[in-house]
Amino acid sequence: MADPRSDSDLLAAHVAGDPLAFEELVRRHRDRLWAVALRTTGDPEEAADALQDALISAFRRAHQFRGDSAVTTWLHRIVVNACLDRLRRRNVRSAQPLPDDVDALPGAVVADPVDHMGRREVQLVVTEALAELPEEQREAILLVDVEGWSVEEAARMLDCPEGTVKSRCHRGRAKLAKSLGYLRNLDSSDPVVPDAEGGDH
Amino acid sequence: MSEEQFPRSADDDVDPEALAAVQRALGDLAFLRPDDGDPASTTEPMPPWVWDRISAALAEAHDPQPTGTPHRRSRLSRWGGGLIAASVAVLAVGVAVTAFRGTSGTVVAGEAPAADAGAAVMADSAAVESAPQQEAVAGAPAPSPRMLAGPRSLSFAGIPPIRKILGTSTDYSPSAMEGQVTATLEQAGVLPASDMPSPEPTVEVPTELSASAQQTGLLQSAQALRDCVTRLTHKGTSTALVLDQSTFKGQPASIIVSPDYDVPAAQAPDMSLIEVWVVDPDCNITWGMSFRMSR
Repeated sequence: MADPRSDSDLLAAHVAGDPLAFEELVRRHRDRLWAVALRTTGDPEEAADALQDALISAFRRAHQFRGDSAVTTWLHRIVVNACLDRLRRRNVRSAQPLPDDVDALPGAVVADPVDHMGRREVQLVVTEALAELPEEQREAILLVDVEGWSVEEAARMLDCPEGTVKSRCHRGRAKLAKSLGYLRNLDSSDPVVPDAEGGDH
Repeated sequence: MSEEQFPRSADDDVDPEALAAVQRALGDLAFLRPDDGDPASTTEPMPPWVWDRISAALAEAHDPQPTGTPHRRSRLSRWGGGLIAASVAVLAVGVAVTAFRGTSGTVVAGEAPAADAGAAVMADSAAVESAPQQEAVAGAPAPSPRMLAGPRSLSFAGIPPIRKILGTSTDYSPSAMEGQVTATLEQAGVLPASDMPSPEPTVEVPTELSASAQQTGLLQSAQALRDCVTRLTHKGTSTALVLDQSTFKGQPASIIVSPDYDVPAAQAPDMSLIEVWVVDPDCNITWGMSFRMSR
């Protein structure tokens, strides 16, 4: 029989020492958490590792849950951040930097990378670039630009002034724009192709 | 100058079109939202093997299994799996041989047991200095013929698998692990830094460990220690910062702390990311974590 306790009751029970509560909470939401881990990392093994990291972290930090969001939202964010951490480490390992300076590539024969990218590929590239941001900028961008919270709400969640959130978003977006500048061609009907001098046509 | 004042920086010189493209792309990351409204996000069943791993890890986080009882294997514990056979083989040749040996290094070890396959364990060469058996701790249970005193120091010709061996008597716990590990690293004088000196070829073993005759598993041979550290770090040339023979949640355990070696082969380890493993004498991982060390 399903445990009738709410998510927040289960988390509170875990903090109070109930040895089964946290696993029940995870069991309840495992498919959703798995889905986000898989979609964020794009690889089942990485997703499993990230999910395990995230859930052990949540297990240990349950007492820090402040109740200003749903338990599922809290878990979700921990999973996303663990996945992004994994991606960052994977990027370092692979030593294959994102094509962040396409304009400097010599020769007009260089194809626009966007030409070869479907929506899913773009999502993965953007996610990987997001993973490279400093944690504070990443958190702010996730809340404001991805989840759609207002700056005011994000500031409350991050426990910092609104100006700080704006600044972090600004800095993070600027970094992303530099590394992902080639995406500006994505929705353009007149794609910009880098020429031999690195200028745009 | 505060963050709020938006000081000018190179990041400010961005192509507005690129900035707009990035914001569009970020808005397309619906799958990162807690409630993205995409049914596909909730219909990705977790494979059973993943659930097995997660539930095992959670069970172990609750209650590390005492040595000798079967336990479900987590991502961490699977790393130690391959070492079990080697450790068992070593155990078969003499539980109490408390020797360390580098991959190709010199060993300073306790007395080797007679029938030794220990010879195989010690094969590549090591020069051994025995710790006198009379150094066994007074009042401690009398060592059996196979429970001999351990080494007082270890000399490695190859890359040492460890910088320091301690017996701090710290009772590590999951909730306090980060602080406890930091304190142990401070005590050992091996706080990670990019400019750390090369590891010493000779590693001292604290008297209380070398004389206590309590060492089994990891400390019974240098190869076991090297294998274990290699298994944990996935790198045969790794050097962990510390091995602390203490307790975890009240149970005897070896706590191994290392910088993150999960980096390209030619790259130095990430000294800011600290990996902690709690292992049993067979290098089975019963608990683990990583944390970023703040400076």
